[in-house]
Amino acid sequence: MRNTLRVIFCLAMLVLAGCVGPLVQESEAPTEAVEQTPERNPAVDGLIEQAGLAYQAGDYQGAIASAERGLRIDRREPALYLLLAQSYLELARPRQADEFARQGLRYSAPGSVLFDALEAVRAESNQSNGPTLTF
Amino acid sequence: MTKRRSPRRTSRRRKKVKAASQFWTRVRRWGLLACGFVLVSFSLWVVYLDREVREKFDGRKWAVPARVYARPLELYRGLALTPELLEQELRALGYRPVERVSASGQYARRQAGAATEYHLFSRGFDFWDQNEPARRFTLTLSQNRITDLEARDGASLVRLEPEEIGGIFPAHGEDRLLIRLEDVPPLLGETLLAVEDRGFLDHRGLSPTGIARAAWTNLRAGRVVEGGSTLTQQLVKNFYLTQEQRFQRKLQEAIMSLLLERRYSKAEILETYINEIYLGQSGTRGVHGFALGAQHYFRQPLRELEPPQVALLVGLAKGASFYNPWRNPERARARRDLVLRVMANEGLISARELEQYVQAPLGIVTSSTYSRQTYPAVIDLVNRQLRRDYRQEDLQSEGLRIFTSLSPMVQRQAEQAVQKRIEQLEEAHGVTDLQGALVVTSVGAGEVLALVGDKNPRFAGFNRALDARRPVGSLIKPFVYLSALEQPQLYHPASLISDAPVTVTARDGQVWQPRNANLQSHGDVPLYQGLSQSYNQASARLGMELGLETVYDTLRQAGFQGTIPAVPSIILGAVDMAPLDVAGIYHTLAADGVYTPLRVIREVQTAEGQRLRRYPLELEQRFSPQSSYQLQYMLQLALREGTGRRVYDQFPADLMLAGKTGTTNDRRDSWFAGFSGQHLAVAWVGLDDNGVTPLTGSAGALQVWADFMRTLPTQSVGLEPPADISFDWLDSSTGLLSAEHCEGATWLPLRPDQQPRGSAPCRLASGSNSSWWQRLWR
Repeated sequence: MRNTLRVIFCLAMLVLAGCVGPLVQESEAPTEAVEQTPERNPAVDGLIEQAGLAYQAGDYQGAIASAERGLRIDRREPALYLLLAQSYLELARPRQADEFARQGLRYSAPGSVLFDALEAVRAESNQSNGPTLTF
Repeated sequence: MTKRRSPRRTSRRRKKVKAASQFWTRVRRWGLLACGFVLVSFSLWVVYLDREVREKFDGRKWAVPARVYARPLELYRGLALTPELLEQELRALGYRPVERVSASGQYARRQAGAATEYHLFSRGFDFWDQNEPARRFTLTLSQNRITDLEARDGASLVRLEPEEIGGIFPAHGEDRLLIRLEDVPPLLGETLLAVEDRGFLDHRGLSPTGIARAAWTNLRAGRVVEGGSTLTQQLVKNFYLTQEQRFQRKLQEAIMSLLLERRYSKAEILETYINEIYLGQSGTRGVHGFALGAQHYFRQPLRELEPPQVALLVGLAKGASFYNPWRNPERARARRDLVLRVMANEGLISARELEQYVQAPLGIVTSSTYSRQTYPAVIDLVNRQLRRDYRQEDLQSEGLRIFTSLSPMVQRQAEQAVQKRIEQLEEAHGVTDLQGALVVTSVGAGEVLALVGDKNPRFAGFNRALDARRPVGSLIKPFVYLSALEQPQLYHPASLISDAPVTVTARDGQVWQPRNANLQSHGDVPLYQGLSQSYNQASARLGMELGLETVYDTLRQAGFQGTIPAVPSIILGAVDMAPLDVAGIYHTLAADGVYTPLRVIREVQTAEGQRLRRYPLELEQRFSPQSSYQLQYMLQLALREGTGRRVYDQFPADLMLAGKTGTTNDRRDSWFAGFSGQHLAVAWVGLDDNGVTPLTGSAGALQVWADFMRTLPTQSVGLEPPADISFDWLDSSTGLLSAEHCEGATWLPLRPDQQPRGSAPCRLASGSNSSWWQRLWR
C-alpha cells in the first residue's frame, strides 16, 4: 500500500512539474483533457519542487519546512497539503497526515490526480488511525 | 716577651666563635628552608595558575546568550508590499542605500514612472530547510505589490536574512557573537596587531621592551599609569583577572600570560581575544567581541565594514567607555584617525585612502534606534514557550538560535496603532491611564506576527497581551451561534429566535435577566441579526436552548484551555481571557473551523547552525467547513450592518472583513476581534484597575484594530463557499424564501436541506436592496 502511495504521489508531483503530457501521440487529437494545473505563483512552484526533492531524499522534516513556507504564500494550494500529508505518513504520524490530506481535498478538483493522491493518503492514514468522522 | 692569653680567655673566645658559627649555620639553614618554602609555594602557585588557565580555556569559554530572530522577509511576485515597508525592513537589517550596488548589504532605488525599482544584493543565511545564498536581484513595486522579481540565478523567491530582535541573556549580562578566526576580515586582524601588539607573533606572552618602557614611565610617575601589555596579557586580564593595577595582579597576569602562550597557539589566543574584548554597553549588557561590536555600532556584519569602521572598532579596544562614539564623538574620531595612521604606516591602506578616510564620518547608527531587546512583549512570549522545552540556564548560555514568526513590519505598525490611538482616546474622552493590547496572527498558519502588551511598547513589564485576563463580553457570542450552526438540521443563518426578555434561574436559585444594551426587545429575529446586532436577549435564549455544556464544548473545541465558570452568564461573555487566548479561538473561526495552536517559534538551532527542534504547523478540522463559512458570513454582516459597522468608515467596501465587538458591564473592557483573509487581530482597551471607561468595543478597541489593519496590505476573507453551500434570498422576518428587490430580503448562505419550503409574500422595496455581497460577486 505504501509503495502504491509513493507511485501515486510521484505521479502527482510529475504532473505538477509539467513533465507528464497527454498520453497520446502528437499526431492524434487528445481524447482526454490533460490535467490542468491551475496557474500558480512561481514562488510556490519552486517550494513544491524543493519540498518534493527533500521528500524523495528522505528529509521529511525538510519537506515539511518547505511546504509550510509555501502555505504562507498560498494556503489553498493542495499540492502543499499532499506533501505535508505524505511526509507525516512517513514520519508515522497518521493523524496529522489525515488532517492535511483532508484540507488538501477541500482545495483540489474531484477526479484530479491530486485529489486521488490525497484520498489515498487518507485511506492509508485511516488504516493506522481507525475511521475518522466526516461532516 | 709574648703575652700569653689565659686559658680562660681562649676558651671564651672559642665559645664565641663557635656560637657565631652555629648562628650563621642556623641562619643559612633557615634561609635555605625559607627559600625552599618560597620556591615550593611559588611552584604550587604556578601549578594552580596553570590549571586555572587550562580549565577556562579548554572548557566552554563563555555563556553565550540565545539569539532570537524575526521571520525572514520572503520576496516573490505578487507579495503585497509598499516601498516604505520594504525600506524599513532593509534599514533594520543594516542595508545601506547606494548609487550603484557592488557588495552584499546594499540596495539602490530608482523611480520608473509610477513603479519603484530596487536593485539589491542580499546577504546569505543558513536556514533550516536550505542555505540561502547571497544574491543580486531586482524587484519592482507597483500599486503596493511586487510586480516583478528578477534574480541573476533565476530564483523566483528570495529570502532576506532574519532580523535579530532580542536575546535571552545570562545573569552576568555579557553579550557576544562568536566568530572564528578564519571569518575575521584580514584588515581587522592586521590592524589589531599593529595597534595593540606589534610583536605578537614573536613574543612568548610578555614583551620585555614594552615592560621596560612602562616600568620607566611608572617609576617617574610614582604609580602605575601605563601598561606595556601584550595582547596575551590583555586577554588574561579580561578573561581571568580584574582591571586593578596592583603589583601582585600584574605578576599573576605575567605568569598566566607565559603559561597561556606555552599551552596554546597564537591563533587560539588571538581568536579568544577577538571574541572577549569589551567594546561597549547596550543597556545593562556588555558588548563583547568585534562581531557584536560591528552590529552594536554599525548594524552590519563584521565582513561588511569599511576601513574607517574597522579603525574605530580597533580603537575602542583601548577604552570603550572613554572613546564611546555617542557620548564622546570627538575623542572617538581622534582615536579612529590615529588608528588609520597606524594602518597607513603599516601599508594596510594607502596614503590617499588615509586622506579620504579621516574625512569620513564615524558612520555609527543613532544610539536611540538601536536596542538589543527591541520587542520585550514578544521576547516574553518566546521565553515562556521555550521554557516548556529548555532549561533557563541552557537558554542563557548555549548560544541557541531561535527563529520566530514575528514580522517586524507588522509589529511596528501594531505598536504605532496602539500608542497613537490610546493617546487620542485619552484626550477625546478626558481619561488618563488607559491601557491597551494587540495580538496579530496570520490566518491559516496560526503564527503570531505581532504582540503589543502595553501602550508603551518598549516597556518590559506587565504584558497585557498574555496576562490581562478580562471578561470578554460579546466576543463570546460567535461561539454560541457556531454551536447552533453545528446543528444544521435545527439552525441556519435565517432561523428565527426570540429577542423577548429572558429570565434564567440557576440551580442555586440565582436569577439572571440579561437585557439588550438599548433596553429594547425586537421580537423574533433571524439568527444572523441576533449576532450582527449583538442582541443579549436573543443570544442568551439561544445559549440556554443549546445548553451550557454545548457552549462550553464549543469553546474548548475552538482552543480555549482556561477556566470557564459553570454559570449561564458565560453565554454573554462572563469568561476571563487574555488577548492571546481570544486570538486563539478566533483563529479557529478565521481558518474555516480548523483549530491550530498559535505559535511564535518556528525553529531552534544550535549556535553552530545545526537543527535542534522545529515547531511545525498542526491542524485539526473541529467545526464543519459549512457552519464555519456561515458564521464567517454572519461576522461580515456584523461589520457591514451591525455593531461593527464603523469599520467601513476606514476601509474600502470591496475589502471583505469579519469581526465582532465586545463591551463588558460598565464598559470596563473594550474589545474587538476581526480578520481578513490573511490577518487576524485582537485589540483590548481598558484600565488596569478595572475601572469604568466611556468606551464601547466600537468606540475603543475597534478603532485601534482599524488603525492597524488599514496600514497593512492584506486580502479579503475568501468568497468561495464550500461544497453544499449556496446563497438564497430569505425574508428576514419570517425566514421563508424571498427574492431580490423584496422588502426585508437578505442574501444568505444555506445548505441544501436548510432551504425553506415556503416563500414569503413579496412587497417590492423602494430602490435596490441587492446585497453588497451580491454586488461584489457581480
